[in-house]
Amino acid sequence: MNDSLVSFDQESRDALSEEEREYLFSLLQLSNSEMRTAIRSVPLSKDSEHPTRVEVIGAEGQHSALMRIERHLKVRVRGSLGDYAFSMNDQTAAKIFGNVGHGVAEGMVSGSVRVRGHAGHGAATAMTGGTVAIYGNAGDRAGGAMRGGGLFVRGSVGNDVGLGALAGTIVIGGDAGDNLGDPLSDVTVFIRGTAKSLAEGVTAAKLRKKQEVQLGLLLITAGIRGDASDFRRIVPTAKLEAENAARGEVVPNWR
Amino acid sequence: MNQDRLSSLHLLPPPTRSVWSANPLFPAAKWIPRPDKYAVPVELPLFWYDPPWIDLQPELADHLAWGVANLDVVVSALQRDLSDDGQESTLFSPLEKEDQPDTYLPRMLPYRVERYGLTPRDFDHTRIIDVRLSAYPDATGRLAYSPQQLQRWERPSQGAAIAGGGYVAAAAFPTDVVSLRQMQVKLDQLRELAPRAAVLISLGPYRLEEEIAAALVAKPDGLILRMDQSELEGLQLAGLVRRARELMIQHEAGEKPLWIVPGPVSTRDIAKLIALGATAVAIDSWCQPLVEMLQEAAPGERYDRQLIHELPALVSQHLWEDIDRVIGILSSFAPGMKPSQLLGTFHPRWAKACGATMLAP
Repeated sequence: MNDSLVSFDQESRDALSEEEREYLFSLLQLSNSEMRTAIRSVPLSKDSEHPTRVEVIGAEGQHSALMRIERHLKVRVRGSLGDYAFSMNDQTAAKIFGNVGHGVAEGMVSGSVRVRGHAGHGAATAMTGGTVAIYGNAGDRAGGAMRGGGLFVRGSVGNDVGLGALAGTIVIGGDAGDNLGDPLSDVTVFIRGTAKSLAEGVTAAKLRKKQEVQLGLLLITAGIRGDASDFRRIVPTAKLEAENAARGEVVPNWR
Repeated sequence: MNQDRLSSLHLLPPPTRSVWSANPLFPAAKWIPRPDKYAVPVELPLFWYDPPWIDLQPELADHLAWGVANLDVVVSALQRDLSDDGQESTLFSPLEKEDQPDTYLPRMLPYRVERYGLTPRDFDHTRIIDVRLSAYPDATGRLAYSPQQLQRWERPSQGAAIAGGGYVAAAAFPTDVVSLRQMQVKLDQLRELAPRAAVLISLGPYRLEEEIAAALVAKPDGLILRMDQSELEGLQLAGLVRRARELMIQHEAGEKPLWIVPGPVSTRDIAKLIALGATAVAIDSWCQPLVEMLQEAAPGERYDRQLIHELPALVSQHLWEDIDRVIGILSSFAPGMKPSQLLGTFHPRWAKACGATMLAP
């Protein structure tokens, strides 16, 4: 097992001690809006390095859970969540010890969402910032219409990943389905495995040295171990040509 | 304001009665119920569906939006349509009312499939969320967003281009929705994000039978039918509204609102569309001259501040008479009246398409 997963699982087994667990809420007792109000009322830590910790139990596939908390907190969720979990997340650092449904972290602004299990379709759709890390697999259209931030999938992804994405970074540790990438997109896609097919107008290319360094840092940020040199990048052909013509310098208006 | 497109339909006065009776004046205001029983107030059955904000500088766009919404017309806008970074949009700010500190003007959130430009704040205090399931061509005919539009919405760092600086194709279905049935979860999510907003799905007019049936599977709070294509004739427009309402009744959604985007219409056309089954009608063609006036008055980046101060009065002067006329005509529409009670025609084709009473020639 990957080292990063070992540490994730260790955390999963170790329930927070009374001292560590500052607040505990149950999704079985509170509705989504009550939960949001409860978490938003938690006092913030004065030490920004050690944000207040909140543990959420009773996660049994509820939809639209824990959306738009907008607080600098650490939230750990026991169990699995349904569709649109942590949508519009801003500032919160969340960990989910289970699976999530479709559209996890949709429209996320900042903070991080880490999922121990698998994610459904459309993970991180239209996110603008922050980090989404899926330690299992993700479905179709992951990173669709992304506008910034980073999506990391340790396992494999489905079809049409990065469709309509304007910016940001998608890192795929496993394989991808059909139509990976988007010729009109400026999202940076890195893949370690193979793609069933690439979208028309995109191509696979080796990482430049600078990108290897960049990816290495991103992998550390996402808590995913791996060697950046094992990855290739998926890039619009027009962008690659513009880069080559400019001798390695990125040309903003490559179309 | 515009020429009548439905002039073959006549608004029928109440039948002559032998005994004089006083009819009440019915209000134009309506409420849209949500599944959680909250009812979203809509003061007027009028809205500005697709304002070309990109044609105006954000501050001018914002004050124009405020001026129109201040007349109780629901105005569609994203915050980034109306403000630069660090600027507060007046439309998105509460009204300065001491007795009602948390009052906002009626606003509609255009929830496009791609969500470019959308921020969490767009959900705050919006009355309507318009889930746009149909890709629609821009002014150049492209099913795409222009580089200028994307710059306005996404605001990259100075000098940076978005997606290589070219047009970006519009999408046809949300990437985080897997089916129309699962779309119901999506709509519930939007209701959670905006607990005081009604969630409507907007559609085009060309595949009414299948698309209305499909959209209603997701249980929206209402539908918006976009029929501002120039090729639609008055008869087709009226017939489609009538048909859409019939289909909603067939699918047990007859009580839900049906908002219509008809293209150019007159005050009487609006009343007739409502008689045919519409709940609210877009007045984009009424507002477009205001956009053009501002483009002429402020062609560059600099403009006279006096323009901002005078704008609410200009907007009111331009729109109010027609708005009041719509309110006036609708005041005679009793709830639950059928098209045949409200409309008559001398043309058999119109009578058949619209369910209007056939009048003797």
